Amino acid sequence: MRSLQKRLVAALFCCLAGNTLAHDQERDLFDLSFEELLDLEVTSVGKKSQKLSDAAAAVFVITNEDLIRSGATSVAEALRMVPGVSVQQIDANKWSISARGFSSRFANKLLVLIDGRSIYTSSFSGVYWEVQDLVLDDIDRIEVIRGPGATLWGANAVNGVINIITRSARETTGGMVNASLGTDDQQGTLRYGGSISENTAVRTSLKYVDRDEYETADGRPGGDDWQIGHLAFRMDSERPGGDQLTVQGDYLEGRINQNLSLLYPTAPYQVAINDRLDTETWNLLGRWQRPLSVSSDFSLQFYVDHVQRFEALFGQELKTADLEFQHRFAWGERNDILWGLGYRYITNEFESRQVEFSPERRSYSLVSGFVQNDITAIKDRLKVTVGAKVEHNEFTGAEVQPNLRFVWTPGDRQSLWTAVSKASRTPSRAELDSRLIVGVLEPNTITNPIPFPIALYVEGDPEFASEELTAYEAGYRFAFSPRLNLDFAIFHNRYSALRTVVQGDPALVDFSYVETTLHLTNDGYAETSGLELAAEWRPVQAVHIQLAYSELDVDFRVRPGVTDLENGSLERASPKRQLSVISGLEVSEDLRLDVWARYVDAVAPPNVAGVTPPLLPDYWDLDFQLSWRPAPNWRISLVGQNLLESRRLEGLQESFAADRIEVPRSYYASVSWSF
Amino acid sequence: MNYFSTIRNFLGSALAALLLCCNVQAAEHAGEYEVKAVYLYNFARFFEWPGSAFTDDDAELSVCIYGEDPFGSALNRIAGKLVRGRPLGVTHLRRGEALAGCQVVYVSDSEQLYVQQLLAEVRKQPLLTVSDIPNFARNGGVIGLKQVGNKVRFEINTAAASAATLEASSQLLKLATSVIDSTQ
Repeated sequence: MRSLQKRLVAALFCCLAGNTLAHDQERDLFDLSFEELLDLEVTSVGKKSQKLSDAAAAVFVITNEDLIRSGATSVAEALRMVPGVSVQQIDANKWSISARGFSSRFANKLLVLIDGRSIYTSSFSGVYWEVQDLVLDDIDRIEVIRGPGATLWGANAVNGVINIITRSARETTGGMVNASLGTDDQQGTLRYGGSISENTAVRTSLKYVDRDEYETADGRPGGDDWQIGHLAFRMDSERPGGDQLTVQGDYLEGRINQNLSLLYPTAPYQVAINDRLDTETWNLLGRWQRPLSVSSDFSLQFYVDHVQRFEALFGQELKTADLEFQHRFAWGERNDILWGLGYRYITNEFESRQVEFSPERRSYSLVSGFVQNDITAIKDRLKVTVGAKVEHNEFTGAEVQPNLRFVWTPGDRQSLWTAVSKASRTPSRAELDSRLIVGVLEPNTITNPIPFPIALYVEGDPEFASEELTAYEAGYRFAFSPRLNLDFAIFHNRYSALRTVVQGDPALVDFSYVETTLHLTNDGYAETSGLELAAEWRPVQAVHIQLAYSELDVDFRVRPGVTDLENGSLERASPKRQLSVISGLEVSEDLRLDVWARYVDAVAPPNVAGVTPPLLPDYWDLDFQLSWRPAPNWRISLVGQNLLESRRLEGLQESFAADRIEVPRSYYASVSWSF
Repeated sequence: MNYFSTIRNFLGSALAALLLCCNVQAAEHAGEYEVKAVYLYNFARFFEWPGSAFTDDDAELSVCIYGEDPFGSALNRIAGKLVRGRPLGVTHLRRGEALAGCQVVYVSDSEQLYVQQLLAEVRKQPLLTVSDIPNFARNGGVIGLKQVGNKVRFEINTAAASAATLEASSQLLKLATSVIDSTQ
């Protein structure tokens, strides 16, 4: 023991000596000859904090490096590092992801875009996260904006916008092969890219994911295994005049299994089945951006998107064509104006099964226009942003979504911002046109003493209105040093016309069952408030710590005299407190260790049928990743996820679920080779 | 020997060793933009401007950051340094602001889309244009920075420099990874 201590002391002295030398060297960067400067190794301390410092919104950016460091195998998992965002995994292939409250599998107040293409599902609200299966290494960054972004992004950007931006084909030339093998999933990726001319690069990738089924609380198989194949390409071209042209597309096919509980108004009332959901999606997007002068440009973007999805609940085929034009120009010394026009044409066709649609097919369009002015009120100190978007849809008419933002930058190292904005959440097709059975009370039981079964149906309403939000936000960013950044945000949101579920009059149908219809109304109000803190600290070069903490309080009320069967449960749908700490250590040049600790407060997932949801207890969990680069083009990593518990019930689906499925502890090993 | 204090001592020294050693590693590296700020200072030293580029003999040599500033506080360290008897001044310019009065212009990444328009506009002005934007020198900028591995290197476009009536020292040309002699 003593000799060990001696060695340590010797090591300390060595280090100390080295340290002072190094400090002198740093101080005298100016005295180095240019040759010596050229030989200096440099490190980039994420440019993101500096770039974001003058944004008047609560923005968090997950960089490509953060994604790799996290060990996440999907975008959904990576979002757990964002303050104010709740990620609850429901089973092997379903997630509930929301920002600033209102968590649900069909969380409808979050807009998600991949390279400018909306993946918010107009049919059922929310995002089918399982089919957003990108090659993580292709992602340049994920920008998460908490709070309304409706002035730029349009309706449904109520509680937040998630903007997934993939890398230009120019940055992914050469080949890459990745294989990963784990206790719960197997993945393989092939990517190849190159320049086809001096100005143009292309890449294409193929990814296959095979995930195993999880287990229920009592150890039965969850029946939720799934496979996804994804083929993608992207072409980027820069013309000599400065024009930038991007063409990209995806084709994805998935087989997704799920255990469902199908309900019938008459015997046998309830049938549990193992359903195989087949889905096929493709999209094609083109974007042209042209500079017009040193301070103006326009861009034109067009995409088509096709989603086909058949499950025992219903079948759907969604087709979207979207055209957007944007123009930015400087007006005088102080104004930077961005305006745009958009047109979207949507056709969706349903196949009625458990969920019935009437009419089954609808085609409709969405027309929008927006203008936003960034005003430099005091140069380098005060910027004011004022803007509004008007969006017209065929169901609720015109939605006006304005915002006003201020950002004050008293010095290089800090900024203070505040904002007031309005946003609306437009009804989904399900809320307008669907009818589904959500519960059956069997006859002659305690809950239903009469001799007929009682069937509960939720029925959409073509008159259902948009939900409205007025949001008040403020934030403070401070760079203590290039190595320590803090980003703090608080908000107070006032919602009105929130969806409520109200019981209608019962009716006896065919002398065989009593039908009770639950109607959707806009009788809910809510006030939510919270705070979010993100901190990034590099005490020394080899250590990188990222912290995210958030608190949330939701107060939901209904119009007096109305009894709501659903939304009271939204108060605890998202955790009141969350903490995420990722600590990375570069053990040596080619070896690094990342440890990710998370705390998530208890949640009570919402329920449509008026049943009191269970309170899922709070939890701590831990992931680790050990990654080794034996050569610059090889990367081998070992990852452990959810290590603290063997299995945990993390989230629930609001309806149709046959089982409560638990997320297990898992491990995987991954090898990447670039050439 | 007390078992716990041994462990504590061991952990303490291990932690101290770790921190100190890591610190050494930290200092051997320098921040990307700290180094790039010193590059700007060095470029200013290795170029010669025509007398007409300055308002008078005492005028400072003005380094302008055009667009979003990626340097942060690193620029404070070059402000006031003397280059050929003139103190370096640092100015921030927003998109669209006139570059008259600048001698060195760093074009930020945020201006990538507009870079060709900008270069066409300032082609014959006595400006030393520097940028991280890919292919900057090939497209008519004077100096394009690029990262090769973990090191910052640069390309120089002598045709663009002479159009701007600037003269680069031969020493600088030797250090460039490539010397381009055309303006497209």
